[in-house]
Amino acid sequence: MNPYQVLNLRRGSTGRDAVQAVAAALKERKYSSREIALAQRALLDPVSRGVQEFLNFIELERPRKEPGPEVRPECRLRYLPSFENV
Amino acid sequence: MSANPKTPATLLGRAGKFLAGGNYHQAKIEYEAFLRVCAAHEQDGILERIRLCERHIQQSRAQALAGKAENLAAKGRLREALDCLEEAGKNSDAAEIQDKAECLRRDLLRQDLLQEAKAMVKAGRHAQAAELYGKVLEAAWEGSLVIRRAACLVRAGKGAQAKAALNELPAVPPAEGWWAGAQAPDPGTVYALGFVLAETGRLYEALRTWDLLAGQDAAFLEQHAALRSAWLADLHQRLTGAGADRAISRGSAACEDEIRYLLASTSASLSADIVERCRYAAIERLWQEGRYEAVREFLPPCPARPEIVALYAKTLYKLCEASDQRLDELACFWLGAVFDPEVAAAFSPEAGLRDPVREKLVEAAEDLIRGHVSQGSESARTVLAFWNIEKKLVRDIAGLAGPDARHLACPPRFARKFGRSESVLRLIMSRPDFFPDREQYLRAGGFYSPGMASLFHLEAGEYEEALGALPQAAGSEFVEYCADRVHFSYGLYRLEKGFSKPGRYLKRSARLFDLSPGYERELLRRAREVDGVDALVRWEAALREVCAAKPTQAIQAALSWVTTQRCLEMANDDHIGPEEVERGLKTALELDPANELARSTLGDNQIPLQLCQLTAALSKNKMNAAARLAAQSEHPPVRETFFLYMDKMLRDIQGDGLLSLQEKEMLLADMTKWCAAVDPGHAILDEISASSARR
Repeated sequence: MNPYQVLNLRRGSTGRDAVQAVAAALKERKYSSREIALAQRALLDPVSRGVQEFLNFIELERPRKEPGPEVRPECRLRYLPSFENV
Repeated sequence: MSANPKTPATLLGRAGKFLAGGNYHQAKIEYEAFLRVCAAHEQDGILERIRLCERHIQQSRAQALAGKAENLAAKGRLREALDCLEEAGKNSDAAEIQDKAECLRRDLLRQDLLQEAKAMVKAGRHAQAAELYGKVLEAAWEGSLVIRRAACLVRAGKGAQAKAALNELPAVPPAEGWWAGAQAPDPGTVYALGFVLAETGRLYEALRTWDLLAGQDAAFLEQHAALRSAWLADLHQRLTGAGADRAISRGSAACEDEIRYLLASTSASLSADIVERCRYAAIERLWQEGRYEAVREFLPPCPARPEIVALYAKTLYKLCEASDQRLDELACFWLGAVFDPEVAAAFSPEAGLRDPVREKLVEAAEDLIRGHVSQGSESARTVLAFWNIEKKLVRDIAGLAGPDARHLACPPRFARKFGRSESVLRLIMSRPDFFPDREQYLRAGGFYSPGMASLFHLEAGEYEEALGALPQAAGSEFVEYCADRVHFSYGLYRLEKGFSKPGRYLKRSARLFDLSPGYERELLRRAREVDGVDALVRWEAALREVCAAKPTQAIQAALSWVTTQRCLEMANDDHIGPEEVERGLKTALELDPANELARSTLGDNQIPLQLCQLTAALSKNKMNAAARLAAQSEHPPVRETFFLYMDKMLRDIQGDGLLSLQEKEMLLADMTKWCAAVDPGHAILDEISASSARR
């Protein structure tokens, strides 16, 4: 179970956000009240929150863009004569 | 004299023979000749036969023409073939010839249309060419012509129609077999298809189609590279641009296929930067969708950066929640990730919370592994054993590493995989005092040394593999430690399995006894538990070798005990006699003078030993030696046995009729001497004396 998903919270949410998200989650009725309570508990404690954040989010540092002409997703081609009569 | 060949009868006879033989042409000539010479009343039925011959002649001519037409058509000379068939049709009303002619007319029309279309293309009138291709397709569907028509439509600026035209194709890129005549696609058609796909925005499919055209000219290669570049930019935009969430959800499978293709490409024309950006974008999207198997597939092959190590660990964790297939990989990456200082920095903005989070994460993975163990997974059991070893080691290294070397805190298999083992080894060697004892130091170093694999095999109980995994060349003290550990366990394994020469391995590991008393204790404990003659014999031989290499008091005592047990069990089974028991027990006592069992058994062995010696002497008629043995023995049974023998001997002498009186007297005198030497007061002496007096 991903508590962030249950409470519809983003990465970096605080314990306070977790408390506030409970009402909305209960109203939405997507998860059981037990699941919502467990999710809230998992995000209230900062250590447990750190664990959940590690388990449920990935962070990738993308390679820097290389200098050079920007490629565009259009492709205008000239029909090559070498294939005309093949 | 021969018959006249021109007589009507002869002519009629020959004509009949030709007709019967199917030579209608000759038959007709003969019948016509007959008509010229015969009488009028003889002409009945002949005209009918001539017409029959003529019909057959026409049919065979039509067949010959049809055959010629077939040959001409095969050579592509359709016009001449049709002329032949039309001529044949005049001579025959066979439906087959008419059908063939019709077919040829269609082919000719198609040929004309195609030639006209090509001329239009050459003239740059692509719309007209497309129309002509359309007409051909109305007559008969052909994939390559659909493509040609679509290419003409594109070039005529009718992209939408071209797009619709491509929908007629069963598969793009073309599946094998649907090209006309099931032949290999001609390069012109393949190029045209790629061209149309590219121009109608289906860049990936265009690229896959053009991949079929290997070794083309420079102009094509330039176009191919441009297409690839455009596709890549498009893919990246789809993955990262506005509406990417929807795009990936709509076409994840297709997108995955594209990423797979991208990652398999080795083209130098691809920018590594954009390839990696596409990879990462795909991973992020797939992660959001919870498609961890696909994430695993697209992970970079070598996780050089901590964030990638963490990504590996998280992905494997998610996969292991559902299956035990990748538990071993998880164990390796998880500890490597959570102990990495850069990864740990992201655990919490508060530095004080990072260690507790790490501990909880270690617990989480361990619980996951234990969960699989409790479900009965055998592989999980091994993984857990390795996990416990690696967890302790990585904690040791983390404790050992100063602030500058925290990145070295990783488990052994991870270190080996990513080339950190040597650095970790240097770290260990720099602080031997960190470890509570030398064995702990060597063990830690052993796991990060080239002998690592053999130690893990040992932990898994794979002794043969452990021996096989030992480095061939002599190495550091850590490798030597690994070798000692493996030889020790392998020797015990061979002993217990009853394999030959276990002592060879055990004696090599004797150095371990100095390192830790545990190994010697283990050997001695197992020696004390040995049961059965065969096992005792094996253990005695092995311990003798160990004792030769390392004659400690404890090992000598164990060897003494095993020897005693072996002698006892063999004597009980009548495998050895009292002399051998005596020798064995004396050896046991020499090894361990405090061996009370050997000592008491040796005492108990004296009666059977002396009885054995006595019997041997008596059986060889060495009566003086026997009397000496009996006289010297402290054991009454020995003397009793002697006198029983003497008693029997006396009865034999008394009852013997062959011995002379003189001989009997001599024997009785000897007996008196032997018995008196043993016991001068024994009653038998009186009997011998009385027997002598009676004579």
